[in-house]
Parts: sequence; C-alpha cells; structure tokens
Amino acid sequence: MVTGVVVTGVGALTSAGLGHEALLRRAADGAPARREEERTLPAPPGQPPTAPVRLAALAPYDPAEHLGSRGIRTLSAQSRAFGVAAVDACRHAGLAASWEQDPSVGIAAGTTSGGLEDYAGLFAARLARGVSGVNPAQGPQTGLNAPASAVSILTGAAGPNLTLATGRAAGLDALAAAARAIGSGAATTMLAGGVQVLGYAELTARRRTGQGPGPATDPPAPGFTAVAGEAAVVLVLEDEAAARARRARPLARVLGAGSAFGPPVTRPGQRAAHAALHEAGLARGAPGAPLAPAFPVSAVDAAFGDCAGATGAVQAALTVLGLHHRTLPDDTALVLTSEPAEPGGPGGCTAALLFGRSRTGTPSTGPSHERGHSV
Amino acid sequence: MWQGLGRRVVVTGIGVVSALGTGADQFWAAVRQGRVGTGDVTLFDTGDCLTHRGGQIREWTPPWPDEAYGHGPLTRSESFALAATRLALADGGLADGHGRLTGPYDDTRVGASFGIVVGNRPGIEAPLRAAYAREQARGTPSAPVSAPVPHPPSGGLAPPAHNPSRISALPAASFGLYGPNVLLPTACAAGNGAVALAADAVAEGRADAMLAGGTDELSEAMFLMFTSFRALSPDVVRPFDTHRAGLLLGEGSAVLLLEAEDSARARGAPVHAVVAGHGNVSDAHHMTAPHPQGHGAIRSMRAALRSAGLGPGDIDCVSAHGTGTPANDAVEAAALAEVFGGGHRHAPLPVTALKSLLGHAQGAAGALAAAACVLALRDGVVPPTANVTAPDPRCLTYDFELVRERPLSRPLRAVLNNAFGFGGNNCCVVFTRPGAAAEGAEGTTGAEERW
Repeated sequence: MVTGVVVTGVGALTSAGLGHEALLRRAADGAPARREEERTLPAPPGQPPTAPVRLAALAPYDPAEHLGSRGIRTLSAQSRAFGVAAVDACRHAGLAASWEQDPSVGIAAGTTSGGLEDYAGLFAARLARGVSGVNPAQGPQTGLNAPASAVSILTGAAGPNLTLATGRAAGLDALAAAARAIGSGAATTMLAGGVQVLGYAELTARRRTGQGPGPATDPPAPGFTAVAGEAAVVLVLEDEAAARARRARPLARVLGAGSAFGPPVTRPGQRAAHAALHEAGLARGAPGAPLAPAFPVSAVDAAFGDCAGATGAVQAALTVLGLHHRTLPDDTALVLTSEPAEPGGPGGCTAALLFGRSRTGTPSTGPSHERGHSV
Repeated sequence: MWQGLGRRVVVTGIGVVSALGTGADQFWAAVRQGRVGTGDVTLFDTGDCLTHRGGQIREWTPPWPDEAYGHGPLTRSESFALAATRLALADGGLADGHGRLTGPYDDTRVGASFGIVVGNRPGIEAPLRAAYAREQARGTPSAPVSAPVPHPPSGGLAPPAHNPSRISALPAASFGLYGPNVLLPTACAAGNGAVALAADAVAEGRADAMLAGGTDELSEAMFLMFTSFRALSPDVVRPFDTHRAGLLLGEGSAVLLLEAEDSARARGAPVHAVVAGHGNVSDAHHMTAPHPQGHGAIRSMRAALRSAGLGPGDIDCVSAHGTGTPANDAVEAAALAEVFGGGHRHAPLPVTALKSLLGHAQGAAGALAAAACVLALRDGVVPPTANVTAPDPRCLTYDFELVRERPLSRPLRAVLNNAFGFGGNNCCVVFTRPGAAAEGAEGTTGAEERW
C-alpha cells in the first residue's frame, strides 16, 4: 500500500481566474467554456494570419506579483503561467516558494505545448530576418522543459526536475512522477501539475493536420472540443511526515497511480485505474474503490476548454479540493485522463491517480487556517 | 514510502540508430574504434551560420519501411524511434516477424519510455517555410489560410508535429507495448532520464519490461539557437581539450530493453548489464549555463552512486556528458573531481566522451551513451574520445584518465553515464556488469570486496 504523500496546496491560473477559489467557482457554476470569445492569435514574423479561434484563454494576471520582475520578460507564456500557478500553490500550502538551492524540493510539469511558440518564433525569425534576426534570449524557452526549469530557477527548488509530455495524460503523469519522487525519498516536496497555453504554432499545426480546433463557427473535429482551453495548475505534494512537522494542513493524500497505453479495445482507462487501485492496496470492486473519475475530462473540457496536457492537473486540483471540502461523498476519488479517440491514430496514453481524503484534513466549505500569504 | 518490489533491472536488448551506423553491432564497432561520425550538415541550409557541421545520419533508410506501420508521414525522430525500438526488441528476442512484441510477457505489462529535446517538433518547420514562401510570393498580406484541412486517417499533409506524445506512442502502437508510456522532455538529460524512469517501473513491478531510450533529429531551429549562442564548433568536437570550441548537434536514437533479472534469466535472455541506480538533481541556477560549482551534477552523481549502493571507488569508467564547450567541460571536470577525487581511488578513473564521435544527439545523447556503457561493460572496453590532441591541464587531472586515441581494454564492473541539460536538468545512471555486486550494499565506500 502506498502511504506518505499528501497534497498541501493547490495553485491555479485558468480562464476562470487566478487561485483555487476561481477554479472551484467555475466548476460549480457550470459557466461553459463555449461562451468564450473568439481570438486571433498573433503570427510569428513573416507568417500568414490564422483564422480566429474560440479560446478559453488564461484570465489576465500580473506575473510580477507572484514571480517578481527579475528575469520574467524572457519567459515564455507557459513558463510565466506555470510559475504563477506554482507560487499560488505554495502560498496556499503556507510555503514561501523560495529555497536556497534545496535538493529536497523538486518540480514536475506536464505539458504538450511548452516552448512550441518560441520554437516557431525562432525559426520564423530566421526566415524573415536571417540568422542575425534570431534572438538568443528566446532559445532557452523553446524547450518543453522550460516551464519546470524556469520554476526551479525562480524558486531555488533544486531537487528532481521532470517534464512529462504524454499528451492529455501529461499533467497526471507529472503528478504521479512527483509522488513517486517523494515516495522514493528523492524529494520531500514537489511542485507538480500541468500547463497549456495555445499559440499560433500549435493552432496552425493542429488545423493543418485536421485535428482542430477550427474557426469558431466550425463544428469540432471528431474527438475534439470546439473550444480550446488554457490552464496552469500546480499541486504541492509533500512527504506526510515533513508536512506534519511544519504543521501544514493536508488537503488530500495520494494513494496510487497508474499508466497505460493502447487503443480502446485494450481498455487503457480501466487498466490505468486498476493499477492505481492496486498501488493503493484496494481491490477492484471493493468498497471504497472508485472506478469512475469524480471530474471526467468532459467536465473539464466543458468548463475550461480542452486544456490538453494540463487537463489532468485541472482534474486533480478539483478532486483534491472536492475531497477537502467534502463536496465529494467518498473518502477516495479517482482522476482519469486519456486521449480522445482519434480515428486512425496510434492510440493514446492514459493516466490514473487515486486520492484519499486526508486523515487530518478539516472539513470545511472553504480554505482555512492558511499560513503565509493570502491567495 | 512508495513501496515497490525492488526487483533488479537488467538490459537484455539494444537498438541503435546513429551517425555511426544502425544496430548495436555497427554502432559499437565504430565507437570502440573511435571513428568520427560528424560532418557537413545537408538537411537544411547552413549558409549564413557560423558552422556547417553536425552529426547527421546520412541517407537515412529505415531497416524496415516506415510506411508499413501505417502512421502516415513521420518526422525523422519518429522514424528513428520506431527503428531503434524494433531493433531492441529483436536484439532481446522479444519481436515476432513483424517486429511486434512476442514472448512470455503480456503486452499490457510492457511499456515504452522515451526522452527527447525537440522530438517531432522539426515537423513544423517545413510548413512554416512554405507559408513564409507563399506570403513572400503574394507580396501583400493574405487572408487567413489556416482553416481546417481534412486528411485521411492514415496519411496527411504533414506529421502532427504539435503532438510530442507521438514519439513514445508510435513505437508502442506499432509493436504492441500497452503498458506504462513515458515521454520525458528533460532537455539533454532526457535519454538517461527515460531509462531511469523505465527502470523504476520494472523495479517496482509496474511493468515486466520497458523499451527505454531517446530520440531526436537535427533541427534547423536548434541549429539556429546554438548558432545564436555561438556554442557550435567550426569543425569537430574536442571534449576536455585545451582548444575545445563548442559542440556539434547530432541526431539518432537508442533504445534499451529492460527486464526484471529473474524474468530475463527465466526466459534465457542474454543479460548485458544491470541498471544499478540513478540520480536526478537539478541545478536551479540558469536556463543555459551550468551551475558554476556543478551542484546539480555533483548531487546527481552522488545520488546515482547511493541508489546503486556503490562508492566512488567502485566506478571503473565515466561516460562524460562532455559536450566540448568550454564552460560545460570545465564544470563537469570539477564535478567529477569533487565526487571521485581526493583519494577515493587506487588508480586514475577512465573517462570517455561519446559526443566527440556523434556530436550531441540531444534527447538521444544520454541513451546512445547508455548503449555504449552497456556494450563497454559487456566487452570490457572503454571507447576512446576522439579529436583530443591537447588535453586541458585544468580538466580531469590526477585522479582521471581521459581515454583517447585508442580503446582501453580492461574488465569493467560499473560505469557511470552522465547527462546534463539546459534548464539545469541532470540525470546520471550507473550500469554494472551482471554478476558484479549482485547484492547492493549500504554505504558509499569500501565496496571493492563485493566484486
């Protein structure tokens, strides 16, 4: 049985706004993402404009308020958003989000878009302006690892640093990897979650290959929501003993994780869920062994848009908060994220994470007795 | 604690696609001779760049046609990954005639784990170039052209290069690897990291076998990025040389077949090496520069040794990250001195740097070096570092021996494989020879008598 990893903070930056309360409100009030406005994404130099897209974009925010002003100008949109969500999560957990090169604190990010816009921008700059037009400051942000690395540098979290890019499962896979890092003793605290920001490069590439989202007026491509979403969500995972030592309030416990791959006929969702249950020491079908997710992907899509690699992190955050606030009825809750069925596609990654209600968590209707900064 | 089974994980198959050949045999024959595989880059125009050299795979022809897999157009990195995975499965005796998984394992218990830097992202470059050309040809701003373009399920106008997960998904789908699936883009540490995470999955019983490694292709965007950093060598890579002038970008893929030792031996598989331990501790310092004191590198090496139950005196060879840039090599040499220097050893520690032969294959680099480590252990040969004519007297002194000019033949018990990357990503993996140190011991010193 897996024991000893707790969630002590949730940070969120979505179209609903900044903070976990905004996340909860959007999930509760059912304001659908399809009401979002059409947007035209700016094109890199020399590239043609792209048709508008209905996008549940990140709500306006001031990155300097969370990250300070030093060095944030060169960060990509994903790195900034992930950093803000990470600091937001730390504040929720009563942590200062500042360490002195601490190898016991690590980062794990799930993303499929990290760095893509900067990659395209760098390439387009050469086309339009020649090699001398390439901005060296843009280079380091072209990588998928940029959000996790940037947060590590900004906070001094010098422990394990991971990025997972397993499609929609990426956010949950990052959370699972973070829990395992704590469980193995490689870290005592991990800031983990997902980030997805839609840029011109991803939008045009998806449209070019018929994988939507199309113009706002078009019906969605098969298996894809009509509304694209953006999100940066981070959970603070801690070793239970370390959290207890600093008198942190656990919101939930991580009980187990599972990963599976394959076409639908191989039932990857069921296999991933069973693996998570097995890791938690729960038998299939046993009392308290959920097989259906509390917040399915479709619910996240409807409320926040298709957040792609950050979807699982949104689901996980809502699940943790639901357990903490007892809006979820059971003591355990499953998070399950899988790729949409893509006709002719290779199949997708599926991830499952099982959370349990904290043994010492305080049932309440809202955040309580937080230390440190307010959210 | 997260409670795994703690099974010993072994390497039973190797698949390699490299600028020095396809397949483990071709690759190793060239590597142990110190043959240099870098040369002129022809994949894209380097005319206005400072250098025109790289570790390009010439006239890449997959050992099995990519079309047979039915995934439509592929990027080079996807094609490399498919070939390397199939080669590893075949090398380990787990492939049927079509390359699909066969043997004693349930397909839901065998997974795939890949590290990348750019992965299939270069697939967006041709469409961007074409769009730019169209804009130039028009001469005036055009109407939006990005309406959805339907494409047949098995083909398309371009690979869906916005979706990095295809890198690990395509081999999994093609060969029936339906267990855990990992895609780890942790910069240039990714190839090692993917092996480490896969080994954990087997050790903890989440999988019975994993195909683990890395893949990447030469990308114009990355070439431009390193050009803008002025970090590329004008000719060759000279790790730890006084006159080292930078790295060369490369490409390729390497995949290791990992299994639990008891299962591998039960099916009579050849056991090449043991994945004994790994460490992943970041720099938290700078997006491109290594920590000046090498904190992340030192901690990662020590964590890898600790998890392998070994001390500094137990390592017989280091496969250095060794990019050939002035700063990286200096920091890595200092980090090695911190971990292995100061009287831990009876004799100088051999160090070799594969990037002198292949260039820096990015997300595949750690995996290619891992394959070389496994083969080095198997054959008792440390391959030479090429192009070094004036070893830097400030690097690898006293306690170290930079192996160069010719291979060093000696029995090897344990090899440390270093991989460090942008953003402070680090991962070090220890491989041991099967039969050596069968039982891990506590502590970090005095392990000689265990061999």
